[in-house]
Amino acid sequence: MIPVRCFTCGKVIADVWEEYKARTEQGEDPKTVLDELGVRRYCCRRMLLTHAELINEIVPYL
Amino acid sequence: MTARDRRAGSGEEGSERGAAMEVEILELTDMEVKFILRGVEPSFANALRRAMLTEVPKLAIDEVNIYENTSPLFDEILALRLALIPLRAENIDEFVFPEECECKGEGCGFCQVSFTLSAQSPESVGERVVYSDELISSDEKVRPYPNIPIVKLISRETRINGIKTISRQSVMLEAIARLGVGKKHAKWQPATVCGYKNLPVIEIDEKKCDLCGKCVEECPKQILEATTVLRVKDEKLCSLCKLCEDVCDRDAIKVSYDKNSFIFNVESDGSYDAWELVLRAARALRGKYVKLAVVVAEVAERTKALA
Repeated sequence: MIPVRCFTCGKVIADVWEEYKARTEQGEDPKTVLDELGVRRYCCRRMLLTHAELINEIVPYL
Repeated sequence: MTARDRRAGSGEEGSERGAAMEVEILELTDMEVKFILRGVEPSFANALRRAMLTEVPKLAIDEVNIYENTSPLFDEILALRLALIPLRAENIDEFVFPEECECKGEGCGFCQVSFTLSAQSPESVGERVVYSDELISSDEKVRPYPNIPIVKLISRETRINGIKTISRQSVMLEAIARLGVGKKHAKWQPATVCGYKNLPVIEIDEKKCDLCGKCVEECPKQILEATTVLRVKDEKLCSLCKLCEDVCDRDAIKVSYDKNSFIFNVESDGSYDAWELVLRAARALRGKYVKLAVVVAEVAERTKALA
């Protein structure tokens, strides 16, 4: 699960994660998507850029 | 009362005391405000900044009773995620701190709001994300920040003694939000980004400048322009790096800052509008000054009595 807020500055970033994911999977440049979603600072940008969604991989072992 | 009325009000108060404090708003949106504060001491600017971070109370989820949790996340992580959701309360002034409440911290409608969440994964194989919008508030004036994914619930096929079944996940909990200040925990901090810098002052000596253009190239913010004269496009953007000063052989450019003017940059987390946050911080600060004045007066009186 994407963290609710940016670790560094505390801005809420979880609300844009799904749109970011959908749009980058469509082949859009992450840079333009982040700019359009209003994620300006590099601390918040890395939260989305580097996030790995692992929850589905944990499920078989629950 | 709109933002403009309040601004006008504070202006009048300033002139009454003959103070030269001045506020110029550069940008204002719901979540962000950028303004220049002129004619104040650095200590006051810092006090205002700290008040915005730690003195403005807001609601945040503080206690979670989990009745059922078969989701992939542990109870603790679930509670942590819930706590970080900003809550926006239209009636925030009606709430009191649990320590100061008549119920003596037992919990009542004046000091807490409860949210319930009940969700289950799909009946067939698949998954569903539970969002913050699904938190049902006991007070309709208190709303959680929308569209934050809290947890993902997954239904999958399992076999027990060769018989296929669907194992579903569910979450059922009650979350209790209380009033608090940022001093206690970051979840009660209504401002995320909140900082200031001194207003830059760039002086150009036209007699010395030979328009070589080195400083124009050197400036990382690209705020200088050399046409017929060397000109500063927007000095507010200057980061005071002084690279232009270093590169100039003729000492024609000088970068300094105004000691008593500050460019503030404030971003709200969503629990208040940005302008409201600044005003509440100023009010909190005034409350502290009033308290201090009372104590000082009392001390003065006692010393007089002793003498």
